[in-house]
Amino acid sequence: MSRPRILHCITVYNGRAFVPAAIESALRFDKTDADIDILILDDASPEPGWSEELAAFCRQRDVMYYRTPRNLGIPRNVSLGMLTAVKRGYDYVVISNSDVIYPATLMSAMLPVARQKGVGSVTAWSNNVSVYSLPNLDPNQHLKDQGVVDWLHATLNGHFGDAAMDIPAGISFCIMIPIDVVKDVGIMDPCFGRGYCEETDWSLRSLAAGYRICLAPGTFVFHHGRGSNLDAGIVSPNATTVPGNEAIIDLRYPQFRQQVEGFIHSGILARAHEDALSHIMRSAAQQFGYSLEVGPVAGNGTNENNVRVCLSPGGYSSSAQVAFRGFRLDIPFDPSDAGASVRAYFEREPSNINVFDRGAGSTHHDEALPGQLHKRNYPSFI
Amino acid sequence: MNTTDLDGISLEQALIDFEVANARVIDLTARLTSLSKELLQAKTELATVKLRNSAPEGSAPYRAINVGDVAELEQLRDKLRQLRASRAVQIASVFSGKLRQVLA
Repeated sequence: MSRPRILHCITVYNGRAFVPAAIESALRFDKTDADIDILILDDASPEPGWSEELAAFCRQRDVMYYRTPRNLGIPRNVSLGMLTAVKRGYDYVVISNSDVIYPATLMSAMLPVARQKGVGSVTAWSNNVSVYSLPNLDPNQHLKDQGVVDWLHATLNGHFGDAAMDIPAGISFCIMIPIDVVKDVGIMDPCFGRGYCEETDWSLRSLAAGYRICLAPGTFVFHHGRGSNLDAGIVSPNATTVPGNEAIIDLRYPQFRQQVEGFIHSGILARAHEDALSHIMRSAAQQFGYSLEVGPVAGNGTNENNVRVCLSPGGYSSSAQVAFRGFRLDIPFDPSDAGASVRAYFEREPSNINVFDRGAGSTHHDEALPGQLHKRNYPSFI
Repeated sequence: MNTTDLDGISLEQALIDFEVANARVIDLTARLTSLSKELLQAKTELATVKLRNSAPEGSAPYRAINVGDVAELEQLRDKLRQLRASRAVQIASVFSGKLRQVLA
């Protein structure tokens, strides 16, 4: 089989603060399984000097750059990328936002999913990919790092491999589409104006044409979210969508909302989230170690790489809270033998055990473990 | 400034968008015309129903609205023609100016 050719399109509108990081991370793509070209589609960014700066940035890195003569809006800018891929003989096109960080082996993980029978589109998994998002307390603080993205992607890929999860609609923050499907289904509908919901419409058209809409759980792309759209003024800071475009979807696909509800309540997504988080926690604990924290008061957890397992004292609960880089997961444990339960879950000993207590309890600990306790915060926070 | 030329593809896309937009305008115009007719008919029916419900039974507007079906109306008109053509009405009209005005 000849190596497939992929056109990776990054749509840009302003975004001086995050676009260079996205391009740099795309330049790290591993090309073992495919020839990958990167195309920056600048939708006539109005920020003074930014387009010139971006063009020079791309020229220095041998990245294709094209600034449209006038602002097209996201759907038509995306369509330009799709048509370019068709016209220039690519096998796959990837449409991506510019407020993202990719893992190096993303394409090697997306391709096997896209090659599966009947697959019309593959959406990458992320901390911010509509209802499918992997929940995280503060992605910008915990996940916005190339090393972390590479690690999370490798971890999820090791667990889910080339599994394809059928979803109600694709999300074009990072979506791979085979060119034959583009030829069959067509490009984005320009009626969505400056953007939002156009990929929902496109993927529902692909579904009607008999293709599968899939998410690749064996991938992870960091997505800041709404960066481009906020810059473009398409959505306000407190809004998450464009009501007029949602109304078009409601008119064209009256069953769509129920289909999404049905998917959410099917439990498939919840199971995938639990599987993913559990695997992330175990892998992190294996690689970086974990600390067992016991007590009615929480510690600070300064080391982000460390997995923290928080147990409530006295066996009041039969689950322990595990935390790692903003991810949270409750794991079951036997209150009568908490240590053994947690060790069995992580298949290793904890790196350290922290006991947090106040008042009279701390005096007893002091007597039981003379010289081994660190006291902080008067009167006695051990 | 551009490091790749997509002007041709961009133009082709604009033409595709134009074709789609044009087809939609034609389709929407046809739908608008058809729906306007439907709306007019629905409005007429609604007005008739409103009048029927608001006019007291036996009143002139009530009778005007409740003329029955078209066949019945034709029957009544036919009867009126026969009455006008009758010898009694013809003779009476010779002696009554008012009757002549009514029959005119």
